[in-house]
This record gives sequence, C-alpha cells and structure tokens, in this order.
Amino acid sequence: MEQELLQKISECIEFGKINIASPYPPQMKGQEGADELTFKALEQGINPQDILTLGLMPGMEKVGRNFSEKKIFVPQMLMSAKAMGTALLHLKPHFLSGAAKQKGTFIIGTVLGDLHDIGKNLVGMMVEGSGYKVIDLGVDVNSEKFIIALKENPGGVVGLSALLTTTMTNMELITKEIKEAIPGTIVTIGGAPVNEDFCRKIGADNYSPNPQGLVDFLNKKNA
Amino acid sequence: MNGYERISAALKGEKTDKVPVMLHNFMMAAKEQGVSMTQYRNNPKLIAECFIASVDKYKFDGILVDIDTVTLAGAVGVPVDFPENDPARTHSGNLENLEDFVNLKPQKIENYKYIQIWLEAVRLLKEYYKDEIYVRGNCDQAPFSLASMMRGAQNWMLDLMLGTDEQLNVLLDYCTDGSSQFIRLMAQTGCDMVSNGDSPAGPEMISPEMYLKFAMPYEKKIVDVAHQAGVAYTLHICGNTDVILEHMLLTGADAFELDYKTDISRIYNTIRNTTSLIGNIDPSGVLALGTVDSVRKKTMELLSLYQHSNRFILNSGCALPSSTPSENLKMMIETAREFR
Repeated sequence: MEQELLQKISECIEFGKINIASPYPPQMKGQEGADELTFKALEQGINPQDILTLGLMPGMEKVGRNFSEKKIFVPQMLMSAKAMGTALLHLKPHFLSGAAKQKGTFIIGTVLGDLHDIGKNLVGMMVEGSGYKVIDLGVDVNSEKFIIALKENPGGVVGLSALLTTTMTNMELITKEIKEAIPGTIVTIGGAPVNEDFCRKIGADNYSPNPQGLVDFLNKKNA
Repeated sequence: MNGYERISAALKGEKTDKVPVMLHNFMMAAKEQGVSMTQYRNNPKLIAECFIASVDKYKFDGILVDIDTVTLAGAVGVPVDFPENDPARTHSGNLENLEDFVNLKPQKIENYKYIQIWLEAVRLLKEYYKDEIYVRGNCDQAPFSLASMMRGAQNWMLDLMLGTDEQLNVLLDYCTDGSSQFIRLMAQTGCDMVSNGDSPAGPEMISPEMYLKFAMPYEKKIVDVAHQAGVAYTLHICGNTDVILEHMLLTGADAFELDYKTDISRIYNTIRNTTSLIGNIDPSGVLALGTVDSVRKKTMELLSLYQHSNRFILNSGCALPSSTPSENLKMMIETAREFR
C-alpha cells in the first residue's frame, strides 16, 4: 500500500500531474496529483524522508534523464517541476524540523546583467527535487550576493546561469571573486551559450548541459 | 566585388571573390566609439556613426543594425528596463493570463520611439553606403518569441501545455501582426535584408513537433511579408538546432543565422544548396575570450568545412560581447580574406 502510493507520487512527478484539477497529462485526467497524494502519504504516516527519496526523487530522476535524452523538453519539464513543487510544499515543514534531511545546499542565480530565469528555475526545481536545499538568488546577481549567501550557508555549491553571449562573460569575474572570498567553493555553470571549454577558461569547476548532469555532479560530490 | 555585391552573391549561391563577412557587433561598435548604450539607443545618427567607424576599422561587408533586442517587445507593451551600459531587457511579460489577450488593443508599433530611432539609423546607413556595403535591419522577435516575451518565458512554456490551440493561435496571430509591421517598416528604409530571432522556439526549449506547430508557420508568414516587401530574410535561432534544420527550411528564409552549438556538417549537408548560412563562430568562448591563435584555428575549421558552398557569410553565431578584443575580430576577418 505504502509502496503503491509512493509509486503513484513518482508517476505524478514523472508525467507532470500537479493535482486533480489539472487537465495534464491527458492520460491522467481526473486522477489525484502530486499535491493530493503527498498530503495523503503524510496523513497515512509515511516517513517524509521516504516520500522524498522513494517518491519524488525517482520521478524527478526520470524527468532529468528524459530531458537530457531529448525525450521531453522544457514545457513538460516545467509541468513535472510544478508537480514536484506542490509536493515539496507539504514536505517543507518536515525539512525544517529535521524529520527529512537534505543532502546539501545549492545556491543558484542568473548572473549580473542577465534577467533570464527559466533555465535557472528548472535547474533549481530539479536539484531541490533531488534532495538538496536550494537558495535561489534570482536574476542579475553580482558576486557580493553569492558570497553573502555562501557565508550564511557554509559548504554550499554555487550555480551560475546565463542565457546571453554578452552576459556569460560576467561568469568569469563572479567565479574569480567567489573563489577569492571563499577558497574551495565549488562553482558550476550552465546556460544555452556556455560549454565545457568556457567553464575551463573561466576557472569554474563544472559545466552541465542539462539539469540531470548537474544533479549527477552534486550527488557524486556528496557521496 | 564590394561588400554589397559579395553578400548579395552569397545569398543567391553565386561565387564571390572573397569570403563575405557580416558582423553582429553593435555593442562592440558602440564601445569602440566611447558611446554608452543609453546614448546609442536614443540617437540614430550616433548609431550610424558607430557602424560607419566599425566598417572603416574592420573592413567587413555587411552591417547588422541591432539595438537592444527588446524594442519590438516594448512596442507591444512589455515593460522594458534600459541600463546605461548594457542592452535593454525585459523580465516579466505584459499578459498576466493567456485569456488577457482579448484586452489587447490593436497595435501600431511605428508609434514607439525606439522603433523610429532604429528605422532612421538604418535609413541613414543605407543613404551613406548605397550599394557599397550590405545593410541588414534586424527586427527583433519572430512571433513565437514575441509571445514568449508578452507572457514571460516560463508562463509561455506552460501555456503550450495548458492553453487551448485557439488561445495560443490568437496570441501568435497578434504577435505575427506586430512582427509583420516591423518588417514592412524596416523594408521601407531601403535596407537590403531584414531578420528576426526565434531562439525560444529552438530545441533547447521546445520539441521539434511544437516548433512545427507553434513557431514555423508564423515564421513562414513573416518571411512571406519580407519577400512581398522586396527584401531578403534571415532567421536567427541560437542553440543546437540540429533536429529542426529541415523544418526551418519550410519557412523559405534566404539565410539562417546559427550559432556554434549546431553541428556544422549537419548544417552543410542540410542547407548548402538552398539557404545561406550566416555564422557561426562562438562569440564569447572564442572571439571574446579566446586567443588570436584559437580564433584563427576555429575560423579556418569553419571556412574549410564550408568551402564548397557559395552560400556562406562569415559572422559570429550571436551578438559579440562589447569586451571582444579588437585583434580577435581582426584575425577572424583576416583569416577569411586570406582564405579566398
């Protein structure tokens, strides 16, 4: 029974079924979604940690893999992320109380001069759904804001996002200033115009072309 | 051959004396003249002077007149932020719900100040260069991308899943009207080419199936408007467009401007006989941050791969950062001039 419910939650995440009212996906129309089922799972006394690791995370991993294999694209991924978001709202009090543990902290922002956030938001949702605490600094973020967030969250990994060829160059200075202020900080970068070569040039530690790649990187670091 | 002749020939698939070069360098051009973005976007004469100085310095064939990339969005009511030293940008849309389109007023984009400044800058450049240098007036977003700006990118992506086809098509028709108006106005300046960007419609964002349904048909309408107005048309999509190159051919665009993430061999095999390639050197990783040697190497690789097609115009794949070293840009152009 517990396993069945967790499996259903996982499917809601995988297919982007937010709640009973949502018409998407068509094959799940009229069924309970991640919202109702997560609430039900908690009501039934299922451990919040299990809901996260056996319900949400497997679903999110499938989403990540499907996205990186180009089986789904941003719209579908957003639906899955929204489904996961509603589930996490139910779980958040349990993170705060320590009943469910998160694997680490990820601090993300779109770099100075850039206001694009869709990529950043997707990555943030995926990383959160993979069991990490995510601090989203928003857009147009300078080095100082990242450094403040790192000081408040020691050991956090930083994610820099940029969508423009003209703003990605700001990643170099931000990476440098973060590493000077807090040596040893891990900086990962992402965004449509960046690549592995650019990552190496600017002294960042990791480039992931898709959110699942970043989750894999974080999990490896955490292992 | 002069610049105008080289690019015109490349668009027709005819041989040229040298590799034609067009530059997406508005930010660099402004910076090299000591002009801030605020000064640039408010003064058509200054815009023209920046490009004239750039042509004098780098001796390239085609000018790409670009200003801010959110001018059309501003003209249809999207809130725009105007930094002093960076291009203008939008963050949120002006349509809170997809249903709000019924409240949209018919638009006349020529009433927007920055549209008029842009048109005047192109007019001045065309008057100055006549048939000596090729002048391309960029026209910001194609309909899908404009809809994305009006709704906000994330909302628009969700609309594609939760909206009805009717709702989506009505907004796309509205945006097609806006884009078409800009194209017609730009054609009247006497420019040689117009263009739009549609990067949110690329495979980094949506599936090829969604591109075929919600982007390509509207791009095609805009291409038709451009051709009816007597100007060539370039479609610009950033990111890896490998899987939609054949679909893009359905638009009838004269040229595709593609960035370095699209596989050049695939581009060559798919479009070389019908559509010109404008691009596709990495503007940031290679031109802005690379060494002179790496610029030469990457340019030679591209030129070698494309040497058997006349339908080629060298450019960076997207806008050059203002910090691009002058010597890097000179090397790219010098490499092209020496190649052929």
